[in-house]
Amino acid sequence: MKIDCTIDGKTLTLSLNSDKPLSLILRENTGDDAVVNHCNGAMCGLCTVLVDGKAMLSCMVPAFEIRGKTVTTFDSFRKTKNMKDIEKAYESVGSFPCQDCYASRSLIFESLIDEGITDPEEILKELSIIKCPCMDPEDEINIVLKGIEARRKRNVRRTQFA
Amino acid sequence: MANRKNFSRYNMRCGILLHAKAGAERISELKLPDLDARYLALTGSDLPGSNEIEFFGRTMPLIAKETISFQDQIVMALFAPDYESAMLMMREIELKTEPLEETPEMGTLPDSLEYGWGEMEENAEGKYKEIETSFSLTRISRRNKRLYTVTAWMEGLNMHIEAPSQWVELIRETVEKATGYPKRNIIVHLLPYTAKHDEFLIEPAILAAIAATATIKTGLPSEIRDEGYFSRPAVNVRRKVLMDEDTKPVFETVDMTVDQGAFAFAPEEYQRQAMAGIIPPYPLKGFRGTIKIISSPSHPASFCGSLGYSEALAATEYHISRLAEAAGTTPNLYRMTIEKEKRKFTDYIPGYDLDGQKKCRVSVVSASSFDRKWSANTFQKEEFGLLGYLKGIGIATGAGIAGFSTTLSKETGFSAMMTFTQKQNVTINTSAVTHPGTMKIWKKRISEKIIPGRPDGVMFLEPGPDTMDTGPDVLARIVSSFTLQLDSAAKRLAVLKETEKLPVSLRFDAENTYYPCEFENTGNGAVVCEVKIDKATMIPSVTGVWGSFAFPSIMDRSSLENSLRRTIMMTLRENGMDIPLSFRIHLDITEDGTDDTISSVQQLARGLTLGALSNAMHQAAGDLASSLPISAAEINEAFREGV
Repeated sequence: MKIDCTIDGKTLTLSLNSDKPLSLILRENTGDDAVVNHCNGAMCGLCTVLVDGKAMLSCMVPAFEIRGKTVTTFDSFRKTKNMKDIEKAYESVGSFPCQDCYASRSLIFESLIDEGITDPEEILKELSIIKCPCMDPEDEINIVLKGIEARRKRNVRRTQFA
Repeated sequence: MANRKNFSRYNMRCGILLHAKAGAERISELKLPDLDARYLALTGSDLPGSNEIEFFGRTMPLIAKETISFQDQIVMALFAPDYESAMLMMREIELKTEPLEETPEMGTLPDSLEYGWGEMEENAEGKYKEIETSFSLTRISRRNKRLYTVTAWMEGLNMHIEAPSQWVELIRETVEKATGYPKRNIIVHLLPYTAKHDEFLIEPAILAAIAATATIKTGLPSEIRDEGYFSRPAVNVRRKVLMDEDTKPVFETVDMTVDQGAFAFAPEEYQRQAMAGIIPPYPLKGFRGTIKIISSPSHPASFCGSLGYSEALAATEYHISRLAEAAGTTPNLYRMTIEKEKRKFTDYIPGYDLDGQKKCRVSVVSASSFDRKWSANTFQKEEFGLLGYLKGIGIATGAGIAGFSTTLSKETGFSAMMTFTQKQNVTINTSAVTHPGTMKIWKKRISEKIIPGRPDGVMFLEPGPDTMDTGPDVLARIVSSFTLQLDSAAKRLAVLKETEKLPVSLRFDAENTYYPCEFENTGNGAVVCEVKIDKATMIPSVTGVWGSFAFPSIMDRSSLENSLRRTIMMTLRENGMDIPLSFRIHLDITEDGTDDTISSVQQLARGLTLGALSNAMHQAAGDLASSLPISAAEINEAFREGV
């Protein structure tokens, strides 16, 4: 089937099986194998992408689900100002994810910061899809809170200048 | 680094692997469907050259031929125009196996390594108190769910391989042996990777050999993908100690048995590293240590970032806490009574000053209120009905080591070359081209010694046919040992450039500092770990970790702290611990400013965390929690049987 979608800012028309997982579409059809993992649904959490701004496990998203949607991988997200907020949060908390889960964790942090979630239980629940054990829970919560703070400050500055 | 050739995926063959479902079996039938020209199946007999990978003199088949030695061994590879077609066709392939009557050939194993000093005495007259302890780690064997790809393609006479790899030379050698393609024409392009358990040491070389064979046979670029595999060996350490009336250990016997799986890689080095860990830090009149390597039809063990030292160090720390229990005091106070100012000089670890370790221990003990908690838990243990108090706290203290032993360093010819050019630049020919952050630090350190203020004038040569083999990036040797080698070479070159005609080159062994004993102690640390077993669910969780580390020099404090935190977290999770919301790692890192070898952070932190965790679990659950990793179900079962 033919699927129209936007991946990393590029509008694409892909001809593929309707049930092909998004992770494999990214690896095989767009050649994005450096960032996205594919664990066949084993919930490693390392294949996270943003679909319309919400963090999702791309190995669990079939092709037909992305029709007309915007997919953002870490490759394009890393260049945005939103990523700068997350980097600031990492620095102020003094804890960084490992190389393996850096991309996925950052995208989930972005999703949580974007939605403004501050409830620790909910933050940890969302982050529990990443099985990589490199960060402790308190740091994860603090990163989200610091990220929300940084985002809010940036938005306020933008409003003032506008 | 040369860029990857921009070929279309439509002109490529995509490969997947068929893995064995069980070990110690014989392939009775491998039935393939009719494959058209678009497909290629590769079995053990289809490789034009030798079907084996060699690592430090030990070999393992690339693809199982008749006998399957271990579960998950590669039985065949199937290449197709795309992965979906390959997977669909793989379903048509029938593999029939039957159990082997005899144990399959597992390769040669080394004799037990024995070391000791003093005359051992028997406890014939009941003069001594006899204590026996046992520490065991069960095998952890699983796929790490991280998919990676290895690509091979031809360009003129050159065979290009793109892979994540901890040892580029191993890929080139394995591809040369498997395909007969000259090593000079094999060019490896490194992909970025994080090898938490050294999983990119052996497997990428195997996949590269298979992909290169497919490229030669089809004439098309070939890509193969697979998940990394992590296998921690099963370890058992039994100790027997004779203590005098003052509860001081006098004679000690240690037997360590390690099951490295179907094929042992560098088993002699494992024995040496493990021996450095099992020698206790306290004085003894007599000591006998034995390290025995055994094999079983399971996945060959990874280096796991330590190659035996961490596990052995954890076993020693576990043992010291059991002695403290027998003496009726806290492990911290007990160590104060038995340890001297310096530890004994042995063939494996030097007689270094224990003051640094004591400082680390005092720091974590006071931060965690260790003595109070340990005593409280011990008193409460008996008062809480059938299940006990289910809370525990443990401590471990030790020194770090890094890189290979002196014996292995002498045997291997890993080297690099530094040249001062006519344009007043410095070039380095090495295969140890690693993380950009590390290379930035190297450039800065070298430029300070030869061309002050010009770090851009220091250049690492692109990988090519003449690249020198600096050895594998394992046991933190590239970051630690190699950094010092570069420093030393830079100092010598700074002198040579003034006296010799330019260009002047200096070839140096990557491991040319031969120590009087096998390893040099580098860095100290102490870790306290507190655990709690939930009374209803029996889920073991860690409530807090306190760590104090002292290193000779710190290149990047933030990376070091992150690395320590990651290693601690990974070790806890790997061993079945639940991490509650309130969990926190309290770290204290100090630098003593000396120019000594930089320690392997992962090795030290892993060993100490494992030791502290074993001690804490032992206090919480007693002998019932006898092995790590442990799950809630196993604790429940142990209590049911124990009660």
